[in-house]
Amino acid sequence: MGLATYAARRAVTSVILFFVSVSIAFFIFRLLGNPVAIMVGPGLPPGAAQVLTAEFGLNKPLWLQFVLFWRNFFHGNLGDSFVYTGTPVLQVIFPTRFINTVVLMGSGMLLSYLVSIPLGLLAGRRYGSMLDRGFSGLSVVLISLPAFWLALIILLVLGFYLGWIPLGGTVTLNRTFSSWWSYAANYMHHLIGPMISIAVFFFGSNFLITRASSANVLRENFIRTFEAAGVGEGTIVFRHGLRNAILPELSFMAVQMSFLVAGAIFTESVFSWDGMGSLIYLAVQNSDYPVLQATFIFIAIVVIASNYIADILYGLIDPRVRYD
Amino acid sequence: MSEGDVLLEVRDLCVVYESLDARIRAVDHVDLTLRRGETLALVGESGCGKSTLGNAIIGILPANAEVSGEILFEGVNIVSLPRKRMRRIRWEKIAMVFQNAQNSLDPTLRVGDQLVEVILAHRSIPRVEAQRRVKELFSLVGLPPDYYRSYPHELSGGSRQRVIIAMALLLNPQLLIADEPTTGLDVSVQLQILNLLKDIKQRFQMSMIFITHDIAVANYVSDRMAVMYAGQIVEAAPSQALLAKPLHPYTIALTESLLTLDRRVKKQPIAGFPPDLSKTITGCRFAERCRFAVDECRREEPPMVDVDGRVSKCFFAEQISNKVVGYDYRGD
Repeated sequence: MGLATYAARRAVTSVILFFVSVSIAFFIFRLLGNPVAIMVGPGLPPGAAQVLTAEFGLNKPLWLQFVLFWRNFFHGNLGDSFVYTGTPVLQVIFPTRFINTVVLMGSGMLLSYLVSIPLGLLAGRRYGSMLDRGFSGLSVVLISLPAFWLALIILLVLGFYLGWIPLGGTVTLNRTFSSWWSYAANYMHHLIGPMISIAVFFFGSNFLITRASSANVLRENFIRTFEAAGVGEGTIVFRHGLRNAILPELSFMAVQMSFLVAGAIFTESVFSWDGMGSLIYLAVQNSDYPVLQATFIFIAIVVIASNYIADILYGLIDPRVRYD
Repeated sequence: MSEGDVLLEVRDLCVVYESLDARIRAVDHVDLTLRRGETLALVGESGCGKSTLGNAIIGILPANAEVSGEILFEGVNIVSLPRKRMRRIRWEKIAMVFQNAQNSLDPTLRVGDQLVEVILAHRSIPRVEAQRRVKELFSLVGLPPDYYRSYPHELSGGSRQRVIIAMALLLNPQLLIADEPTTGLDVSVQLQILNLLKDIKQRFQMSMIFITHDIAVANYVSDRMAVMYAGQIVEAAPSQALLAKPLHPYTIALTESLLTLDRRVKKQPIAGFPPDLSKTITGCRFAERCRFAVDECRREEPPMVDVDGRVSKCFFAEQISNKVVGYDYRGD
């Protein structure tokens, strides 16, 4: 079976997986209890509960709710937020919060990969050296640090003491921007702090995984072949080492992609970054089921898609992968 | 023999592997001379230091190896050469064919591209020219040109070994070190590879160091043999002469462990084990397993004795040669 057939077949299973996981999400959120009971306080008239229940369609049988859910889903309707009353969930999420989070997590994770993967390869090559021991120790420390504490320290040092970064938000409030360029510059300035927090947060695990597989790969016989053949150290580490050591890291990255849409709850809260993480935090606090359900669906889409991409990349990087 | 005839000279070479709790003397005061156009076989059982010696010559010992002594290649001591200059000597002057372990080539890249990479690491030539060179060598070692685009796992063991040999020839080296090049191959394929090595050695006018544990294979490919035991060369002689009339008890034992078609001669394994190289050894290293050993052998290290232009590291070399002590002596 060739790569194309494999890709097509995996696409079909991915779509099935998507339907199954979203269906599971549907039932889990129905098990959480009656949202009307949470919304209706003692101040409301007795008939209010019935009206709200009918409004949400919760008086219909479960199978019908399930059918209606999918029908609405394909019409781009994921329900209305409980907190932002009457606002459709998709409008709560898109475009601002979604974009904010994708920009923050995308840049932070990319920065983390750009630093941790080359360093991991080098540390694996010089296993047991000062460089290896130094960064391995640092990684363990960084992994053990709570994310909110890390974000607070970065905010305190870079923002409060040094004054290099703003103390919060995505742009300076109450300011009119003369051009999209000055808006972008201001946005980027606000991005630095949370981006560094995310990059530091992801550094340790990615470094350690790359280092471990690099140390294994760079001990193999073919590395000795190229050393003996007078091939340069850079080619050995970053061509042969990278290609062979990246596979475990690739699966790990696919899992990490869920953060791309889920955001980082702590980091976003500390930096008042108006993204998905902050939204999830708010939604959990206020039992905003439709918002949580929608975020769950987005995370499912991203995880399934990124695993799909990782599986295809596996085959492209390692020719020994068989598609059957 | 004039000076110009000598390609490689190893003088008093020691390699010590340093680990946390031990110092292992893998190569212990080895002297070796290799003439241009000559094939020298290094013979010995596993752990005798023959591979370490080969790796020391091409300079790919691990970081915990301590080297002393001299390796003169074309009169230049390459032991003390800076990394950069040594990297140029590797493959341009000295190339190596490794044991056919499954993974002597990068599993994720096409074999042709890996060979091109080696050329481009040494020569600033256009890629197409390097590709042409690779294809040229493929046909020379008997590989179809379309194997260029194959991945290592798609090739048979024999073909993979041909790729490795082609790789060794890329830059026209003067010395080829072949370290157990036929291990792990089918017997019929082994012979093909041995013939290929002999053939290309002639064609490229190279010298070759052939490392093997198999004295019959060594005899088939080499002009001269050096027998190693426990980190030392114990006997060196022209191959035919060495096999016909070994002058060291270890070599005698090695020839006796050979399979012959003569049913009257019983195949004799060598009893006992080589000594622990992390300990200081007094006397002859083979004494514990030697049938001729006397007290003196255990007390004092025998010198290299010259007998009829051959060398043997045994007190009794002369007697063995004059059949005072017989090498056809088998047990009691």
